[in-house]
Amino acid sequence: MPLLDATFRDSNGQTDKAPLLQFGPSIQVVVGHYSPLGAAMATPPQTETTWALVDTGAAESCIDSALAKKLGLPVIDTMLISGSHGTHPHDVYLAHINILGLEFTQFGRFAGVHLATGQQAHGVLLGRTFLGNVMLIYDGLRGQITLSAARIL
Amino acid sequence: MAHILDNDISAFEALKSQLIANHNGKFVVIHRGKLAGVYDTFDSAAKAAISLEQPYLIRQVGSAQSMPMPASVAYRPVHAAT
Repeated sequence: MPLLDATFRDSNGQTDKAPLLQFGPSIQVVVGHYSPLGAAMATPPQTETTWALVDTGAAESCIDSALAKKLGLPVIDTMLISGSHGTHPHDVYLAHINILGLEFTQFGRFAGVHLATGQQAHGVLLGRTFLGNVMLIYDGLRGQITLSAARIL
Repeated sequence: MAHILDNDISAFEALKSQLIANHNGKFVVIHRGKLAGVYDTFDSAAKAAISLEQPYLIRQVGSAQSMPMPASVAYRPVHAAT
């Protein structure tokens, strides 16, 4: 079973707990369209590598709206998201995400939210719909984050 | 303002009681106002949907269509520049 060590480390390779406190458990993901292996495509689909926050507080996974539009991700649903400014409809996008270092690729549904305009450090929030496919170990004492994919596609 | 999925969402709503009775918890693909397939997982529904011309609706039968804004988006400490 592949394991991903997502621990923040300093320039000496030592565990650095400060970024974990500031940013939360973060992993690099490649977001883009599904591209079947061997499929001949006139124009390779766009992908983008971005930081994703592993967000146990989010029911659904979310993606920065601007990033979703830039990649031309298909809108596959809508949903209402409620916050301090009321309840508003949001588009839900279909993306194919590859977790670097985990050999784990899957489709995800991502609610479009304004992360970049809110000066968020992450382009993606991986919520509990995603966490249903992985094991996450948050070792706050040592500042270590480990992810494991139980299912490889 | 019209939404690209209005037609497919209307079709889902029309089929909703039937889908809940027979396919609760499954993932459905609605395309051009018709049920295109029922799948056990989101991944399999998505793989089937991408062979269709956009737009298409992928929705889990019986799932909530709302959620609270994740706290990480709603509340984020912003520190003054030093």
